Amino acid sequence: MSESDPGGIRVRFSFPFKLTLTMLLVAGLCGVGTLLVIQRQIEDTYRGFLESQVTDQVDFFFEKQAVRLASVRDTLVGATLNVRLIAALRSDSSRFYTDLGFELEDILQRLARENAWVDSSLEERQRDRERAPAAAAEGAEIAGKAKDPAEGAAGGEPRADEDEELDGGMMPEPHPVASRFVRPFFRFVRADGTMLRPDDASAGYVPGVDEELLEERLARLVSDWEEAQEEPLGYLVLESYGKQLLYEVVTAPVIDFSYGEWLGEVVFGNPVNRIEAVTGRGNSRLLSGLIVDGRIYSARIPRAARGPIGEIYRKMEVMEGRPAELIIAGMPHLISFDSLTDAKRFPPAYLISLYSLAEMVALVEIVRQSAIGLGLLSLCAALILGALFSRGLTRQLSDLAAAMGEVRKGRFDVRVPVRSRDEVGQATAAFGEMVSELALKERMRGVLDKVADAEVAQELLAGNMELGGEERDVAVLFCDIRGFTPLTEGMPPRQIIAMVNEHMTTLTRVIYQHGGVVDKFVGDEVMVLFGAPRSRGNDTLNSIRCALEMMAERERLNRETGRVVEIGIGLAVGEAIAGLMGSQDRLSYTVVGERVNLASRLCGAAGPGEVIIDAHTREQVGVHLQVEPRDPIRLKGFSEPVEICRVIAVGG
Amino acid sequence: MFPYLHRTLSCGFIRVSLLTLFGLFSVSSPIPAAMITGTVDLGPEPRMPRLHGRYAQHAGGEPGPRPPRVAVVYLEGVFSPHPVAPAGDGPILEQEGLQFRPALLPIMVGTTVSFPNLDETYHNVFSYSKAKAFDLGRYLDEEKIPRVTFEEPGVVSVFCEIHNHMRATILVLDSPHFVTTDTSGSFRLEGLPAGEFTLVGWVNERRVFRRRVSLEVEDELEVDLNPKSDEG
Repeated sequence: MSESDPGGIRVRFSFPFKLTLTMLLVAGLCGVGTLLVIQRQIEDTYRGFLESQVTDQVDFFFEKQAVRLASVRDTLVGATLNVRLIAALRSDSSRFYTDLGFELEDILQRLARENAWVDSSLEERQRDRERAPAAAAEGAEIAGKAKDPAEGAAGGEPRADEDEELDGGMMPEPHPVASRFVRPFFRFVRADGTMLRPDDASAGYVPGVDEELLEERLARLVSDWEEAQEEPLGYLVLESYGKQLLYEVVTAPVIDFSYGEWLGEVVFGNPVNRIEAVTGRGNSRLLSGLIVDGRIYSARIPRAARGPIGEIYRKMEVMEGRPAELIIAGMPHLISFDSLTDAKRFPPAYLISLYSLAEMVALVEIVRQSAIGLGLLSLCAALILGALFSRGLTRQLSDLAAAMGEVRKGRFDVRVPVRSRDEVGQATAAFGEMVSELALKERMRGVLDKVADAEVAQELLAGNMELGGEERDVAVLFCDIRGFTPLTEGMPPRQIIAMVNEHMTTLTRVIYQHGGVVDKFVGDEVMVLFGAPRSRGNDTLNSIRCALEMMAERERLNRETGRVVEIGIGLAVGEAIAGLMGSQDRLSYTVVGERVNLASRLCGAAGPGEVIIDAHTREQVGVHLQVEPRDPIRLKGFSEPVEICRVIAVGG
Repeated sequence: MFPYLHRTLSCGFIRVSLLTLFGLFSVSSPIPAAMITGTVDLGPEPRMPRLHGRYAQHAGGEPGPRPPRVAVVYLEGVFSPHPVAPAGDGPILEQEGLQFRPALLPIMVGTTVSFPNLDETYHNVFSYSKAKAFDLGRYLDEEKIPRVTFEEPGVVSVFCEIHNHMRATILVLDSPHFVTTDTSGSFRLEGLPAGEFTLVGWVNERRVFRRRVSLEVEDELEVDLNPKSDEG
C-alpha cells in the first residue's frame, strides 16, 4: 500500500466521473423519453384531426352526390315506368327517345343549369387566383413524366400558366362540339345487349365516341337483372379525342309488367366536367380526386403523387376507411379510399382523399429541436453544478482517506478540517473525534501495559478474564531486598525510587525472559508467577532458572553500579487459586493459596543471595538440581516444619 | 230514274234498310259455305320474373281481373269480291275495371272502332303502331266517345298511358273471315268460300301459326294450329 492509495484502492472511476455519467444518462433518458411521448401525442392528435376532416369531406361528397343524383334516379325510374316507352319499344322505336327525353327534360335542364353555375363559380375563383398568383393552387408543379397506369388527365380547373391539356372539360381546338360543356346522354340498351340508336341529338351524345363504340361500352353494363332493380350508380370513362371523359352513370330497367318481360335498361350518363364539382374543393391540406378503373382524376392532386398513389392502389391495399401512408416528394402523406359504387357492373371507383403530413412533420421538428436545445442547456448547467459540488466532495474524501492512512501508521495527531455542513462534514468531524478517542485509548493501553503485566493486560483487554479464579499448578517466586530499611536510611526519596526502579527493571527483564508474570511490586519485594495466567511448559524449571538468573543479574548490577544490594528469593510450586481478585471496578490478577504463603515465607527465610525452595518443589522440578540441604524450619502458618534446601545450580 | 235512285240510295235510312234486306236475303238463301273448326295452342302463361324494390309494387297491382287469353283465327288470301268493311258503328274496345275489353280485337281493314270509357277515372288510350298511331287523350265516359278508323292492315298495340298494365291488340285484317277463339283456344270459322287459302292462328306477335287449306264448297274441316303443325 502506498501513500497515494489510501486503503489500498486505486481510483479507477472517480466520483465526478460517475456523477457526470449518471446525469448524462438521466438527462438523456428524460429528454428522449419526453420527446418520444410528445411526438407520439402530436402525431396521433394530428392524424385524428385529419381523419375527421377526411370523414367530413367524404360525407360531404356523398351528400352532394345524393343531392345531385337522387332526383335523376327518381326521375329515371319514373320515366322508365312510363308505358309510352314500352309502347314505343313494341310498336315504333323511333318514338322512344322522344318520349324519354320529354320525361327527362326537367332533369336535363337542371343539370345544365348546375353545370353553368359550377363553371361560372369556378371561373370566378380562377380570376381571383390570377389576381393573386402567389396563392396559386397546390399541385401545380409537373414533376417529370407521370407513370402510365396512374395517369389520368381529366377535370381540372384552368390554371393561368398551366398546359391547356389540364384544363377541365375544355377540349383543345378544333372540336365539333361548340358548347363549352359535354352534356349528359341517355341510351336504351336492350336485354340482348344491342343499343337503340337515337335518330337525333336529343338523347345527347359523347363527343368523339360513335354509337357503335358507345353500344359496345354500354352493353357491358347491362347484365344483371337483380342488380338492375336497384338503379345502380357508378362511374364510366369514355375516351374522346384523346382525353378521358368521366361520367356519372345511373341505370334503370324498363320492365313490361303485363308480360313480365325485362325489355332492357336506360343508361343515363352525366359528365363530370369539373372534378371539383363532384369532389368538393377540399382545402390546402386535403386534396381530393377520383380513381376510376385504375386512373386518377383530380384537379389538385399533383402529378408527382400519382405514381405512389397508383402503387398503393394496385397493391389492392385499398382498405376502406383506414388511411394508408405514402411518401410523395420525400414528405409523408396519408391517403384514404372510399368506394363510390358497389354495383358489380361498373368499374371500381373510389374517392381518394390525400392529405399531407407536412405540417405535422414541421411541428414535430420544432418540438424536437426545442426539446433538444433545452435538454442540452439544462445538461450543461447540471454538469457545471455537479462538477462544482463533486470536486469539493472528492477533495474532502481524499483528505480523509489520507488522514486515516496516517492514523493507521499510529500518528494520532492528524486532523482534517471540516469544510462543509453536510454528511461529508459530519463524517470528517466524526473521524476527528474517533482519532482523539483512539489516541486516548492508545495511551491507556500503554498505561495499562505498564501498570499490569503485559500478558495479563492482553488477556484483560481480550475480555478473557472474569472475576473469579481457577485452580492452577503454578510456581510462585518472591524476591525482596535484604536489609532494605537500613540500606535506604538516610537516602533521599527520589534516590530510593530510582534505585528500586533500576533494580526492578533489571529483574523484570529477567523475569520476562523466563516467561514469568510479575504479579505485583510491594515496596522492595516483587512477586512473580509462573504458569498463570498461562502455562509455558516447564514452569517450575523456568522459575528456578529465573531465580538463579535474577541472582546473577543482581550481582552484575552490584558490580557495575558499585552499590551492593542483596536479595533473597523464595520459590514454591503447587496448586493455587489464580484469577482476578478484587471488586468489579478495581481488581488485579493474582494467586492465593498455601503454596503462595509458603513461597513468601521461604523468601523471608532466605539469606542474602540465597534461593530457597521446599522439598515438594525440588521433586516437581523433574531435573537434577544442585542443592544445599538445610534443616527444616518452622514457618508461620505452617503446623509442621518444612523441609527446605538452597538451590545452587541446575544440573550438575 | 237514276238520279232519283242515287238520291234515294244516299239516304242513310234507305241504306240501312237495303243492307238489312241484303242481310236477310243472305240468311234466307244461304250461299254454300265451308267451315273450319279446330283449336289453337295458346301456349304457356307468361311468367313474371322476380321483382323487388319499387318494381315489386307495380307487379301485383292490377285492379280488375286480367282479360282471358284468347287467339284470333282468320283466313288469309285473295277474296272476291274484295272485302269491304261494314260501315257505321263498328266494334267497340271499351275500358272497364281498368282493363281493355276485349284484349284482342280482330277487325277488317276500314273498320271504325269506338273506345268508350266505362270507368270512373280517366283513361288515355293511344297506340304507336305503324299500322295506326293515334292518341285519344284523356277522356271520361260522359264525353263524346272517340272513334278511330283503321285503314291499314297490321297489328295495332293499344295502351293506356295512365294505367301501365292495360293492353289491347287490334288485328286489322285484310280478310272478312275471322273469329276469336274461346279461352281454351277452340274456334269455329263459318261461311268460308271455296279456294286456296292460309289459315292463320294469331295468339300474339311472336306466336302465329299458319296452315294452308284448300276449301271446297260445303267443306267441314278440322284444323289444329300449334307449333307442330305450323307451316311458317
